Amino acid sequence: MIIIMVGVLAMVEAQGVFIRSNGWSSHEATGTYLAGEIRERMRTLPRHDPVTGLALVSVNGTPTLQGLGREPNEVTVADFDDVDDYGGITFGLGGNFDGPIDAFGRIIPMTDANGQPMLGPGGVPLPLQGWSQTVLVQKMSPFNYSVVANWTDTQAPSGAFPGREVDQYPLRVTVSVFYQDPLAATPEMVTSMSWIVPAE
Amino acid sequence: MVTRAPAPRRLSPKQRRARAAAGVRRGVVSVLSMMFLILFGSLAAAMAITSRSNIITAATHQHVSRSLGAAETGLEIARARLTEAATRFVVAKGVVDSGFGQRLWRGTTNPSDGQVSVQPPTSYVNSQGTPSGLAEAVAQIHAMDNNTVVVAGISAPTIAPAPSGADPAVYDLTHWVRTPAVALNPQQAGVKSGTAFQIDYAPLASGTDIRVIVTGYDFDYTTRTTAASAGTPTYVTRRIMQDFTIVKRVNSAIVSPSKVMIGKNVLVEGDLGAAYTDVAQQYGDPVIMRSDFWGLETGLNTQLTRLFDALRDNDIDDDNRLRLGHPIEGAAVPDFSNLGYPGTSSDVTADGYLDEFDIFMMYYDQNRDGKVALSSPLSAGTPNAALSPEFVASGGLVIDDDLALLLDSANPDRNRNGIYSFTDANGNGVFDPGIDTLADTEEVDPSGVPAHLQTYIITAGGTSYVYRDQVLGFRDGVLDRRDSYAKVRGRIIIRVSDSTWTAAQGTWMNRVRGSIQAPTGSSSLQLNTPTSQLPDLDMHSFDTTETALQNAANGQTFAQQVATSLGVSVAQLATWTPANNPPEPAAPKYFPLAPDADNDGLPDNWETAHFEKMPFSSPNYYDFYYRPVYENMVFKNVQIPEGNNGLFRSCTFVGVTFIRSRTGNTHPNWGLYGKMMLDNTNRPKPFPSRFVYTGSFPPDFPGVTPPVMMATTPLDKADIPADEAPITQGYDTLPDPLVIDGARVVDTKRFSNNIRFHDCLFVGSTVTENPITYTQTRNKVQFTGGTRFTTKHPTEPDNPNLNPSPEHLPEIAKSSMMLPNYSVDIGSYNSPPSQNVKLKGAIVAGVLDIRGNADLEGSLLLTFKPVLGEAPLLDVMGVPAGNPAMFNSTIGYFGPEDGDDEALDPDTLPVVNGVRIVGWDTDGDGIADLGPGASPPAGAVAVPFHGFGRITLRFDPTMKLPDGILLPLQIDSRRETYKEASQ
Repeated sequence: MIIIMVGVLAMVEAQGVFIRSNGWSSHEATGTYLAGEIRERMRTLPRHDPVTGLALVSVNGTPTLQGLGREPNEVTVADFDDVDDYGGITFGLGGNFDGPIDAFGRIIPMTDANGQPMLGPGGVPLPLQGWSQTVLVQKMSPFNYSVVANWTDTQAPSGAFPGREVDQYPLRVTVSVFYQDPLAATPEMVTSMSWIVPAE
Repeated sequence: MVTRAPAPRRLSPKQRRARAAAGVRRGVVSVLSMMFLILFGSLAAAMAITSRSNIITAATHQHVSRSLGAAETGLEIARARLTEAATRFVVAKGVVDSGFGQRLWRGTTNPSDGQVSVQPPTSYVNSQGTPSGLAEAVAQIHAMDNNTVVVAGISAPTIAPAPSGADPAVYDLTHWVRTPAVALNPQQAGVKSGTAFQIDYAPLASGTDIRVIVTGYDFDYTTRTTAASAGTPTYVTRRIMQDFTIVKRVNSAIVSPSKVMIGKNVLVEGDLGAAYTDVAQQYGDPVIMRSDFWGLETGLNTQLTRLFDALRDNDIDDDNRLRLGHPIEGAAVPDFSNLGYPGTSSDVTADGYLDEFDIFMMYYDQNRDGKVALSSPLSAGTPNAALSPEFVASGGLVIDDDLALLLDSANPDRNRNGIYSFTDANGNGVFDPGIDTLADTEEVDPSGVPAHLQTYIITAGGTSYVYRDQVLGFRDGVLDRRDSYAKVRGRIIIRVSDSTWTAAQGTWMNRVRGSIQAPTGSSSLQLNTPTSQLPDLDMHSFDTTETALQNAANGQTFAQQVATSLGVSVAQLATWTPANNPPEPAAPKYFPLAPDADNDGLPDNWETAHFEKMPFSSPNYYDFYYRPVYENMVFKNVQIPEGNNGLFRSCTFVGVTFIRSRTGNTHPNWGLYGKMMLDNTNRPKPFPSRFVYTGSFPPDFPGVTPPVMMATTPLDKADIPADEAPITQGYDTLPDPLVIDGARVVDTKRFSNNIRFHDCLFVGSTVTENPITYTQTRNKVQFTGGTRFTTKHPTEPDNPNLNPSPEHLPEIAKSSMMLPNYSVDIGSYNSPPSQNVKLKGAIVAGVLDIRGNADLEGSLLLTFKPVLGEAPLLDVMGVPAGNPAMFNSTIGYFGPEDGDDEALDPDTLPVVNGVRIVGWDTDGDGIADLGPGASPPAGAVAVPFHGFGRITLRFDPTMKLPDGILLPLQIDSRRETYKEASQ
């Protein structure tokens, strides 16, 4: 009797572990997918805004960085036209934009067991529940991609070297994908993906 | 001895019943327990193994993804470094072929490759010397890397032979560049961690392609050691590869270091590159663009103004359109209920945007059928000839047929199958519906064609067919959504930054009108553009000693060809007079300009010789030219000698026409020596006037031997008599006199060339040398009247005398016009409708103005970079003078208020008898001699404005550049070659 009970308990526990690990694997795959979608969306973007650029301008005699982040009136994902627009943006749960999004900027819908989008009130597809994509954009040292530079860093001209302006540095983009279980108090990072956008 | 086991004790039936009642089955319990134990244990173990496998699989997937991500980062960095290395190499040769590409990579170029110069690197301080080839340049960039990791024994960039086993049919077996791995995370000594990428650059056997092989590493995860790894951990890796091609080309429809002005009735397909930077000057916008629809009618202007007002504050993506579905742009869409289009129905073209064309459609589509029917002359012969004209004013007056024809003819290859030519039955160079035939046809069964397309069916020879492009709206007699209007179908790329431009000129989008349709995923505007994307062209960008085009101008001498046309010997030309010209209108004629034998600065036949304003027919001219006149002559592969300054009327130029001039035109007064203005006899005379001076000079100027022609207003030191030099204020700031070939020169017209071609046909190309300094008057070419350019004679395509020599055709195809540092005018300030200029390839000029009807397919490369303080933006004392922004390239019509001082703005022209006029013709030649605001003398005839014409600039990404244009190399990513591998 004791053996049977221990066995059943072991089975239950093993099943739980199986489900948890399977869920973790599934989440990992989803997280990798979500991070990859952001990467695909940002793949062809210039590093800084094609119109306003990134520049150090003098404001009341103080060099001030202008052009970092979203430009005024860039209110939808479709408006984001450069890499630094995505800095600090979270798509999805608890974020500042709806999401998570795919490579076309569309919100990824929640699907049912049959793979059909689940609809919310008004027939609008429900976004993938519990997931979020957070983008971090950092300015990097031009020849050491492990060293983060200050956004205001520049390099003075020297000889034939024309110098390096504030916008002529590579960027590192890190997408962190979080999942918050319905019963969990805080989201948990499932995966992250980084890449370098070289200076041209 | 055998012992027997005792026999089991037999239980009595009573005992057996008692045991059964007590439930005692000792063996069964044990067996069952064992079975359960094994069962549960096995299941639990299986689940644990499965769970762990899942975790391992997922974790491996994650690390594989990381290594793949590192590899893709490496591929991007390899592309950027290849690009940086390539842009250091500025080459004159036009095409990178197999041999040239291989020599560029290896660093073994030779004199036959033409000029190859290597620029300093732009991304780091160079302490590694000048690389001999691209391979070394790439290795040098990699040598700058920190945080490298040794993998596969590579600790520094190495140029080495190919690894053993490389297939020689695929790879070049030498000059592989192998680089150390670059870590993306901080590394501690002796411990690899995080991710890294390692790049190999493998030149391919093609000579022009480089295969980048990138291995991505995840050092935080290892697989089991194997016998092969000898106990060394094997990291998770991913390897990807992609090919890149070394090319030389331009990327824009226009590349201009001077201000670019795109006028009404001008469409651009391709990027528009404006590299002008001196934005602080008056009119200093690097680019301005006019609406195609503004000015058609006052009522339309009112509606357009509503759009412009909405764009001002709400056009987030700067494409001069409002997206209906956008929360900000869509909310700003004006309501056009007044035109019968409330709400989003104003998007008549149903493309999701509101732009000027939608408003044009709403305004003129009277029957609301989604089409604006063109005037009867334009719709004749088209499928919609029966429609009642809508794009007409009251009384059926034509409003702007040039615009209508431009839009209806835009994008001739609408189905993008590469076929859009036509048979030009009447040889006018324009597709005339009902007369000419389009090449792209499809046979149809009329019964299967929808009702609304029945009028598109053409029946000939018992066959019914349609023109595929016409079904998609090309020249079908109506304007509608199928015409897919865009002012610029591409991007506008600008060198200056937004902040610099705005600080100097204020808000500028209101001076850049017209919808901009950038490729999907690209921004419509790009400012602060680096030279790697927008090359910095200037007068040094041409090495004309290497142009095959010049070499192709190998026909008979100019004098011989003139004499042949007239049927005389070259010697007889010296005594030719206009009286010798035959009376037949179409016969060759020659009106010579007599030499200046009496040294008065004028041709000796100045009283009767032909002269004209410079620029021709400009209301704001600044010089005069006496010209020899050549009429109805045919020239083939001719070199027009320097100092000719001729007017060619109704001549045909076959092959390559080489216009010669002196390149050493660096004297600050080059543009002033020889200047003329009208005197009181109404004939041009030297300005300032000159007198004969026989005295001496304080310094002995070599080559200046009295008597000299001395200017009454000094232009140089030889214009100051010896006794006045000490007391002349500013004497020392005057330049030394100009001496050419050992003699003083006071008229540079003899060493330059200012040519006007009127009503001429060019079957081939024109080319010049590259004068060192841009002198907009002395070195100038004007194409006026019904000028036509083609590569095949329109009426005699098989006549070898009227068509280019076959061996010259490849070079002619590369450029119809290569006139670096020349001022070039195509069309005049009132171009006639008969003008039909078609240019192909790299169109090169110092500054180019185009008006009238023109179609440019290729790329327009402008070379003059106006800089205040550099010639010609200097006065005679060498003091900076003038406005660089006034040296602009004008495509279409503009006026002085836009910075085009030489021209008249059609919008400001006075209306006489219901017609806009450009001035008054006093001598009956049909050309305005007096401005439109002048009081016409008796007998003067008003000259009507011929209309805005129509101009298209179409970038051809496949064009091959001619030799001689010094441009940096580029790298093309061949995405279709991307491959992924585990090893």
